[in-house]
Amino acid sequence: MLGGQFWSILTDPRALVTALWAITLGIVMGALPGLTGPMAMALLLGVVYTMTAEYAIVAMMLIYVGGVYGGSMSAILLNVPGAPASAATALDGHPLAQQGRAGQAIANVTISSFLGTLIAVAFMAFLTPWLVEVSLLFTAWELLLLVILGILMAGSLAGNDPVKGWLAGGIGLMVAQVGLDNIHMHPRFSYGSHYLEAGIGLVAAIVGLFGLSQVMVSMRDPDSKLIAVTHKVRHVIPSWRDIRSRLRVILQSGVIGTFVGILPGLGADMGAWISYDAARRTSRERDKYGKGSMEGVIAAETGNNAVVPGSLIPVIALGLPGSGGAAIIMAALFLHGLKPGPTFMFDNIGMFEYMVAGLVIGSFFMLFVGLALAHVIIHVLLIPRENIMAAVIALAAIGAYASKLQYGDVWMMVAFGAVAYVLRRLDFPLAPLVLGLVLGRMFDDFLRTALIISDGSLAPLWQRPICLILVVVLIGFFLLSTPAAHRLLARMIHLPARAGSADE
Amino acid sequence: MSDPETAAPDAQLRKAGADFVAGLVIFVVSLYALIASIRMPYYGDAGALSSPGLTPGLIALFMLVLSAALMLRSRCFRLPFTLRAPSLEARRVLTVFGLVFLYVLMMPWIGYALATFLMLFAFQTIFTARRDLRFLLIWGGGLSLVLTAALYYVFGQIFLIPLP
Repeated sequence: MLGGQFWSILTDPRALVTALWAITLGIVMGALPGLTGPMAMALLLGVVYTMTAEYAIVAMMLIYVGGVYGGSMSAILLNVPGAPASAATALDGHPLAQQGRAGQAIANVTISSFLGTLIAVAFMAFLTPWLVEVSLLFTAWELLLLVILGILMAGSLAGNDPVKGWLAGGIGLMVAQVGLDNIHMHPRFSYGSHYLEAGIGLVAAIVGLFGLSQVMVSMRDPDSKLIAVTHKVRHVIPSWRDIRSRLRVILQSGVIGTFVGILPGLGADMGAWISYDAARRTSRERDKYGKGSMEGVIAAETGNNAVVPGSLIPVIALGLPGSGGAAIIMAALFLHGLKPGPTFMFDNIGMFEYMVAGLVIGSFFMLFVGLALAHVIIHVLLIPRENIMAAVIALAAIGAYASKLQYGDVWMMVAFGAVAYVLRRLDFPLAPLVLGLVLGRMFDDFLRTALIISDGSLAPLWQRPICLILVVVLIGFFLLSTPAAHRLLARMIHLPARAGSADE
Repeated sequence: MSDPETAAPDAQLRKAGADFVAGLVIFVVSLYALIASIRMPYYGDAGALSSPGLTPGLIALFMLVLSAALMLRSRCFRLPFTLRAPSLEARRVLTVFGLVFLYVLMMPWIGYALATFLMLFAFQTIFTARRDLRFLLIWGGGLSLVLTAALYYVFGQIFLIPLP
C-alpha cells in the first residue's frame, strides 16, 4: 500500500537522511553553473550501488529533482542557468532580481517546482499502472518497435539536427553490443579481451559521458563570467497571493511538463520552454514576459520539474527512459537487479510505491531546503570553477571504479569522456547516446527473439494491431523530422534553438 | 580584421567541414563493424536470424546510411584543421585531459589519496586566476588536502566504498 510506504520512509531515519542529502546535493549541483543533476547522478551511480535498492533509487530520483530545481537559483541570481532546464527561468528571473525581487522570485520558483513535482507524481501514481496494463499486451515485436521509436524520438528531439541525434543513438546501441551476446554467448568486438567480453561498463560510460566531458566543457572558456546581481537575498517568503492567482498556469505547466517527460528525448529544458510558451500565449500580461514576469518564472519552473516524474512513467511501464536522467535511473535499477518494463509493477509493486512516496517526501524536503539555501547559495555559486571541477574528476574516478571494482572502468570513463567532449563540440546530443547504451542489449534480445519466433517473417509488423499503430507512428515521426516540418513546428511553438543540451 | 559578412558563411563552412570529418570517421567505423558482423558465425538452423552479428550488422548499416547523409549534406566545406597553434580554449581542454590522463595513469602506482592530492593541487595551480605563490601554497595546497581527506573519509570510511 502506498500509505504504508509513506509511513516506512517517515519512520526510517536512514531513508530520511538519504532523501535529505540527495535533495540538497541535487540543488547545489544544479545551482552551480557547469554542473547538472544528471552529472551528479552519473558520478554517484557507482556509489549508490552499495546502498539498498530503495535508498539508491530514491537518492537518484531526488538528486534529479533537486538538480532541475537548483538550476533556477543561478539563473535568477547570475543570469547563468545552472542547468539547461533553467534557461527559460533566466529570461524573467534575472530581470526580477535586477528589480530587487530575487527573494520573491526564488520563493515562487521553489513553490512552483514543488507543485510541479507533485502534479507529475500524481500522474505517475495513476497513469503508470494503466500503462502497464496496456504494455502487458506487448510481445517482442512491440517492445522492439518501442525501443526503435524511443531512440528515434530522442535523436530527433534532443538536438537541432535529427541526423546527428540518430547517429548518436546508433553509437550508443553499437557500443552496447560489445561483449558476449545473450543468446549464444558469442564474443562480439572483444578481440580476446576478457574485460571487453563482459561488455562496456554502463556506469563508467555514463560517468565519462556526463561527468568528465562536462569538466572539459566547463573549463574550456578562460572567463567564468559569474557576476552576481546581489549578494543578499531578502524576503524569501512564498506569497500565497502570487501562487493562488497563478494556479491555472501551475496546473497547465504541470500537465505539459509531465507529458513532455513521457516523450523520449525532450527532457526538462523542453518542458520549461513549452510550458513557458503556453503560459505566455494564454496570459493576460503577455507584454511582461521577458522583462520580469513572475508568471513566466512560475510556468518554466513548474514545467521543468514536472518532467522528472513524467520521464519515470515510461521507465517503469515500458522500460523506456524519457530523458538522460531517467536513463541513469534505469541504469541504477539494472545495477540492483531490477528490470524496468511491463513486469516491473508485478514483481516490484512495493518498490514502485516506495518511489512515489520518496518523490512526494523529497518534494517537501526540496521546499524547505530550497527556501533555507536561498540566503546562502550565492556564496556557493561564486566558488571558482577550478575548485569544483577538480573535485568532480576525483569523484568521477571513484564513481567509475566502484560499481565493478575494475580499474579498466576508470580508463573506460576517460575514453568516454574524451569521445563525449568531441561529440558535444560537433553538436551531437548525448541523450540518445545514453538511451542507446542503456537499451542496446534489450534491443538485441527483442530483435532476435522476435525474428526467431516469427521464423524470419516481418508479417507481425502489420498483422498485430499495436505493431501497426507503432509502425504508423514511426513513419509519421520520420516524416515530421524532415527539415521543412521541423522549421514549421519550431515556428508554431516559438522554440529556441537547443544548444547541445547534453545532460538531458 | 575579417569582414563580418564573410565571417558567418566561413563559420558555416568550417562547421560543414567538421561534420564531414565526423561523418567520414563514423562511416569507416560502421563499415568495419558491418564487415565484422557479417563474418560472425551462424548457430542452429535459423541461419542469419540466429547470428550474433545480426543486430550489430543492422545498426552498422543504419549508421552507414546516416553518416553518408552527413557527409553528402556537408559536401561544400572547409576542413576544420589548420596548421596554426591551437587556441587558448583548445589548450585548456587538452590540459584538463592531460591531467586526467596522468591522474588515472599514476593512481595504481602511488595510490588514490596521493594521486588525488597531486591532481587537485596541479589543477588549481594551473587554472587559478591568482598567481601569487603564497596563495597557491596555502589556498591550493590546503584545499587539495582537505578535499582529498574528505573524499577518502566520506567514501572510503563512511560509505565503505573501495577506492581505486
